[in-house]
Amino acid sequence: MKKNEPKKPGLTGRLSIRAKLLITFVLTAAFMFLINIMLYNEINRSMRQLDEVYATNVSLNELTECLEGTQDDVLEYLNTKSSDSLEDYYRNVQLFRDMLEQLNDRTVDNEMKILEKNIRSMSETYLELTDETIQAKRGRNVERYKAAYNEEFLNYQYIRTAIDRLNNLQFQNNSDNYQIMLSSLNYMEFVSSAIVVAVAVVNLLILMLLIQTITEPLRMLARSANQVAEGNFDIQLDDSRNQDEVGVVTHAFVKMVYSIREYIARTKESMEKEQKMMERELLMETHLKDAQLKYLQAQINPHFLFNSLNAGAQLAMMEDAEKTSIFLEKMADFFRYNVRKMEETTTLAEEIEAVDNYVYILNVRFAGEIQYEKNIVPYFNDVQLPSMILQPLVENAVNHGIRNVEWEGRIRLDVEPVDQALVIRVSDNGQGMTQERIREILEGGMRKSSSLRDSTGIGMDNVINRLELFFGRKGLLQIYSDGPDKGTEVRIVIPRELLNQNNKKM
Amino acid sequence: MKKNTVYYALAALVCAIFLTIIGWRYYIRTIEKNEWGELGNNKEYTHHYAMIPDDSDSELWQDIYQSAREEAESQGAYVELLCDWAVSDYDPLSYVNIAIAAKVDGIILKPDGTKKMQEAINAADESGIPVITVLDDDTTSARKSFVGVNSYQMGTTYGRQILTCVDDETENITVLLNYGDSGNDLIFKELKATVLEGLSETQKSSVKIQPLTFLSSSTFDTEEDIRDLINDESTRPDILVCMNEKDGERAYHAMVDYNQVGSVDIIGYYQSETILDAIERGTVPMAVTLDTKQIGQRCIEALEEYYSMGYASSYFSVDLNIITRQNVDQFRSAADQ
Repeated sequence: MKKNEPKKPGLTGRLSIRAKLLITFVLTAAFMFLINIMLYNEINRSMRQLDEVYATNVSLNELTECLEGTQDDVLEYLNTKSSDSLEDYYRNVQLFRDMLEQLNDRTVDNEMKILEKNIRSMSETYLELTDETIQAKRGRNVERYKAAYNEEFLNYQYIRTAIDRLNNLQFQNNSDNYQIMLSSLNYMEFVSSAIVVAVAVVNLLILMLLIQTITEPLRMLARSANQVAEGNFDIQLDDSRNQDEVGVVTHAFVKMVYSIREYIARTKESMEKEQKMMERELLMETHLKDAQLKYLQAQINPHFLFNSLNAGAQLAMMEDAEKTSIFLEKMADFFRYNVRKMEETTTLAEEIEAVDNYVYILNVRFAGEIQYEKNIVPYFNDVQLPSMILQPLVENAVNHGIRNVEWEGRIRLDVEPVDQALVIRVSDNGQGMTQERIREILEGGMRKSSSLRDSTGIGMDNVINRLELFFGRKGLLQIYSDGPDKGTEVRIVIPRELLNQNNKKM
Repeated sequence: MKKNTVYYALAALVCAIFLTIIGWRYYIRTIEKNEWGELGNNKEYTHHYAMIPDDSDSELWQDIYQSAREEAESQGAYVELLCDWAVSDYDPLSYVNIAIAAKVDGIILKPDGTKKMQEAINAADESGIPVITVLDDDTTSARKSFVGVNSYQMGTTYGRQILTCVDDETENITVLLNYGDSGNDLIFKELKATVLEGLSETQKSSVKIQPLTFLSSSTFDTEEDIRDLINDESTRPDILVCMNEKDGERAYHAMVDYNQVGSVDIIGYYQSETILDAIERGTVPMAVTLDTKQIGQRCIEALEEYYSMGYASSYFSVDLNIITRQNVDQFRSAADQ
């Protein structure tokens, strides 16, 4: 696995899914809330602005009443000259002046404000005239107060008209304002809807991006899991950026895949190593087998050949007759077999013949000392064996079994089937051996100590090894003895399946 | 989470805020442009002038007011069009009284030649309110200035226009004078002199030039009189000269209604839409018009001059223009502006 460089997770990478969702929700809600606040604030501001512009501090009705009161008082005073009416008049004038104070007196570009200014100025003129009228009446200047009253009354009418007009304008304005407000509200509705929609879209976008950051790692994880399921362990998965719940799962997954991969690699490696070792072992074994065979077979020849030939020569010197020729013939056969079979396998029949020849030669050498019997089931004549197997056994039976016994030495060779196996027995009635000795022989401990001087040179361990190599199984050769002087039996048991296997091989 | 995603989200957020602000600015600006702006305009002016028209509906007065208002605005003054307060018949005189009572800083009006008007002008002057007469003058009053065309120039101009309409069949030329205008006599005298000067001897004997003034006792009298004038063969003029906007239109409609197009040549006054259309079609040969823009400007100039110098020139001249079929487009585009 190619390990990714560990990257520092981003801000969002450090947050858990829960935190992400929470932050998104809170942010969106806050944003929407802010927008709403802004909108409502603007609506309120608009309303206040309208109020400020059109707020009239004076009720026109009160103003009119006050004006009418003043006019009535003037008229009353002119008619009756009562002090009550004069008192009323002054009270009303004071009230009227207070009200006028609240009217606009600035010249501004607004019809209603200008009208207010006009009313204020006209009222001041009117009050001057009423004062003049009252003063004239007090001074009993009839001409003057009549003229002043006319002028004052004209002014009074003008003011009434102006107030009516202002009233009308206000009414008109109120309905206009209503229209303005309505259209403004409609417009605001549109704008706010547009803003809300825009914000909602943006929110959606942000949410989608956020959800993608949650689902994308999941998808990646699923994809990687599928790849792993298909047997591809070589996946690339960056688990370092996300530290949310998915990130934790991803990390665990990556770790799992990594260790599985490691495990597989290790297993593969050890299997390969084992395989290689087995191959080498097999090769070595084969070479060894070859070498051993060559070596062992090469070991067999010289002394025995020379000794036998010496014997033949002695016999020929003594008799110069038929026996010698037979002896030499047997010798020749044995020698020929020995040489010929050096590198090959042989049949059981040939092996038995070789034993016959060997025993004959021995009997010639030791003047018929050896009683040799054989019980052969001819069915097994064609069984394949490594060469020079039986002869060493018989040689051992002669040399270590019956050579130095005081009684008559007997050697017996049996070939027969026992329990699905071919059993070849070489038994003698010689010295026998202890169990320790038997174990030593079977474990190959005798190799060094055995004397080669007077034998074919093939020791017990050689026979055992070659049997093992040939049949590929251990323990085919067994040695039985009941103890010293009780004789020895060497038994080769070849199970039927091994026979078949080797026969097929041939 | 990819780093890009954060940037995308941030970009989207910034975008949203940007859109919101843009939308909001747009909203505020639209609202202000539409209605709110004017409501909040509390610019204060130094002077408050009252303009009292004799006919508030006429385009002539509307144009004069517009021009005066623009000029006043540039001088830091405010002009109020003082009219139409009540359904009841408040005449210009009432509005002069109102203006005096309201203590305005100046009055612009067209005097009607009556004694009461003269007194009112004098009363205003006594109250310290300068009065500017416009279109027509009242030299006997205490007005500070007159803004308009002098009667001599007016008469000469009309006379010359009449001459362009006179042919061999022309017999009756009627001049509709404005009731109460102080310069009527002078105008007619100059007009007649100019026409007679331009006529051949034979024409002089056949062409009759006569003035006509309708004494309107009620609202619709003038209209009926003009209809009668056109309809009645005995009184129907060959050339009819109108000295005000309304008379020109009345005569035109009467001429069309009684199917007298071609037999009566109307010389109109001022560039109302009706007269301009008629000139364009050729049913009315021409109209005499005043430079209303000049009038408005001169009125304010006179008042401002009075306030800055303590006096004002007594006469501000304005140009007199002739609208014919050839140059009607010019006036139309000017009127559109």
